[in-house]
Amino acid sequence: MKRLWIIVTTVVVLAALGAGIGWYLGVDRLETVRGVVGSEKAPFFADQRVKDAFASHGLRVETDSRGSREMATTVPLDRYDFAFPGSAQAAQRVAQARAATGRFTPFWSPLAVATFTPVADLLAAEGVARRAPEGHWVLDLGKYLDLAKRDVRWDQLKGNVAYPARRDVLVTTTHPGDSNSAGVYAWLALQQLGGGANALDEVVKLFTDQGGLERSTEDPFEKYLAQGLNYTPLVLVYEAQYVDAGRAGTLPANATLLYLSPTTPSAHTVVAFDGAGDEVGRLIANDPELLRLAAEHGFRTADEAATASVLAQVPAGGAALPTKLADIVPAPAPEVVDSLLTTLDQRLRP
Amino acid sequence: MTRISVRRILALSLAALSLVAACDTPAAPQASEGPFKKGSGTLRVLAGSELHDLAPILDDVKAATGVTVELTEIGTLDGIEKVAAGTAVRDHDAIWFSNNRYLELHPEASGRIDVSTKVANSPVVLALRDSKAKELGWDQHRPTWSEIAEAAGAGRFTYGMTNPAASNSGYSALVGVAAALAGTGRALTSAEITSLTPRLQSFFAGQSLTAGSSGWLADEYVRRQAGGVPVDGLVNYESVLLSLNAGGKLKEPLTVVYPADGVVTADYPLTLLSGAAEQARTNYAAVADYLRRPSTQRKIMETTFRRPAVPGVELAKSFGPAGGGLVELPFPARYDDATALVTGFGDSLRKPARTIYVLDVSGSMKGARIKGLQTALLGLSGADSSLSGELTRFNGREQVVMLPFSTTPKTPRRFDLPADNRQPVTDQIRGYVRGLAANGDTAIYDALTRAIELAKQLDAADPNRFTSIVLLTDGERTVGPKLPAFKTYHAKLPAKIKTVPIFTLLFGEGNVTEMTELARISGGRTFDARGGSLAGVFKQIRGYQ
Repeated sequence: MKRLWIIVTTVVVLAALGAGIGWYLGVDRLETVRGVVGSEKAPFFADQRVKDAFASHGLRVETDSRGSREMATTVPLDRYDFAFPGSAQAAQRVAQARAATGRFTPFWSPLAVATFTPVADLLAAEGVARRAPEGHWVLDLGKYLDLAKRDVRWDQLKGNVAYPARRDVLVTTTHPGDSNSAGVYAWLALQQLGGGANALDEVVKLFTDQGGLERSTEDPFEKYLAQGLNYTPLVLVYEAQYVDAGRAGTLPANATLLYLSPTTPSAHTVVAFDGAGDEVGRLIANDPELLRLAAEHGFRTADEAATASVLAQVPAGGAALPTKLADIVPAPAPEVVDSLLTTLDQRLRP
Repeated sequence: MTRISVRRILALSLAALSLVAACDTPAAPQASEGPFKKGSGTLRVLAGSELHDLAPILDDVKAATGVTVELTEIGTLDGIEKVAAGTAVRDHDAIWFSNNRYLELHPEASGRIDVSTKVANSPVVLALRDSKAKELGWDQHRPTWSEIAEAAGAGRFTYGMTNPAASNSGYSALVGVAAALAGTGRALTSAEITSLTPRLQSFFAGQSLTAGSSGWLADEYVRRQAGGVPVDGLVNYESVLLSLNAGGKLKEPLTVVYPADGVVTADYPLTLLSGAAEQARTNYAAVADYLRRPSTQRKIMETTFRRPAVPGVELAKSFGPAGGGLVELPFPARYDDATALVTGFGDSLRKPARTIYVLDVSGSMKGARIKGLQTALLGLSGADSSLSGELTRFNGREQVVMLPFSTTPKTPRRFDLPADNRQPVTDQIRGYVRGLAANGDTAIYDALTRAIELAKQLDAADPNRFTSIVLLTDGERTVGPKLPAFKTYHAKLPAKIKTVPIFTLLFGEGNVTEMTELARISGGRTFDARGGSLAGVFKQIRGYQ
């Protein structure tokens, strides 16, 4: 009996010591760093392995998700050590709103349209989508814009049993005044239409015809994941979001991805406001473990082999996701995007 | 080893033991979901009344995170107004409505709201008593909103729906049916509303029950069924309808009808207000994290019949439609379009209201009380230019009757507002209201009987209106018949007049028991004006008229 007591006490004391040491070495010694990040990066920061990787460098990174454009307009930046918008253009605006101590571009992710194979087939029949030689789906932006301009509805497409809804064929986006993905999409569309006042009207229509718009890119994508075709047949996303969901096993049945043609690279950029923010930026851009995890979450880093092996694991309706993209136009200058988005915001929120 | 460190170790072992013990309580996190985030104190949330059924989940939140979520009920538009004006953050940390779409269109709102977390989904759909659904064939065939509007206009079924100006479910329903009837495939613009008017009027002709909140609508639906004067159906959130079916209070269960051409879906965003304190942000993050855990999402689905917001939580089989999709209809893209739809509803689309105000002008109302009453009525006559004022003012086609009383009922005065150019009539109402003066005794039941006789007479001449009575008194009955005599009279009324709701205000030294009883026997409700302004309460009542 006595021996049993000794054993019990020893076990409890050892367990407590262990817990105490863990507690001493762990949580309480970490420096908390706060960031505001584009919602598409929320799954990356929520990953326990990412938290562990930061913790091994003495950091606990806490993030809030907001639209990349909101960061430069309505987000109180003074409470954060860094911001992490979805493009260099949005980063530029953020740095204008609060002086940056450093900028880091650890990875990028192309814009794409998450959809369903039967819907992609329908669009292919209309000549709007096609298979690239490498096997992945491509959305022909010019032909799509023509369809959108003519107000073609899904129930008017021949042989449509997949989604015979009385709704216009339109990509569901976020609000370009709030969110980077919609802003870049607007710019691509405007380029494709050749610019000018009429083209701008058409771009405005791409948003007003959709109706109410979400503020941050993860919101419509999450509805695509949870509600599937009911929510929308086409949703604008970053490739990384789709890849991340594919690896997490949460893609809806028959999910596939359309790449935009033309497309433009969107460099997700850490804008640091102080030393702690700099440290986070440096780590994400240089720490091999964090870079590996970013690649696992679908972001394209400098390590193309890592990207290739991640992409190969993602189901896309038999269409392998491409490691190299064609038809890339250079990213626009920040001022160009900015003036477009200011105009759009005035037109959409008069 | 010193004594102190031994004590420390003992304390740690106790802590370890209590950790082991904690794992057995329901508040322990699921292994796959990681540790709970922690906060402390209270998260003060302005919320729509339809969020009330989440109370048990909020108890779990408290146990897991240490944060008490305190919901303050507020109507949608009042909420939007408070957020847009920047006053909401003075005494609240977050807002939680069934959706933020209207708010996000508001030009003043974008800087007022911070991070937002979608908690669940629920589409606005139609539900009909099983027998009525069978009779219409809608248990087998999914009708479009056009078919629904046509059948409603032809009197083939009746339904209840909340007022779009007061409640989110009513507004979403209005958006959905308007978008579907327009059938353009695009977001509706105000220019298109005019051409839709006849078909929307047909849809709203079938409405026989209205309310300012989803919860009250559902309760009143149950009461009407129990009282033998059933309404055939309800337009509301799927979650409210499935909850009614599961609640065991219905005599006849509801068949949920998923319109073939689509729905508008609520997504319940818990939204932090800009400028919230650091502790509130911490609390918000802990609460949001808890609400989005798959285990919580599953519990929300199973107990409140809302669909999960996060991927990977499998939808229970009880959610329809069986086979076929549930297309999401577009919300208006601009604030002006969204607002035009609600004002259009009031002035030209809805079944017009007949509103009888029974107003105590006895001696005790002298001074601040009669002034407060005058301000309230002047506000409804167009003097209140705020958003909520604009959406609660007297509408085009409305019939307003003023019946002041003191020692005896005074001569009632009727005002008929035209569809267009309301100004001359609202000017008359204003002039009349300014002339009200307080004097004499309090003959409540004489006046109420007079109001009901008037309702009977007016309804016979013009039956296609929502008739309701508002009773304001600040004291006990002093002359004329008493409540029991009135109840005997009321019990003998024909069904249609007996169900004219009496909305009573709790005010001054008025008799709370009697006011509650009047509301109960007529299917009305009480409104408490003892704490705030009469103007606010009169606006709130508008949602029920």
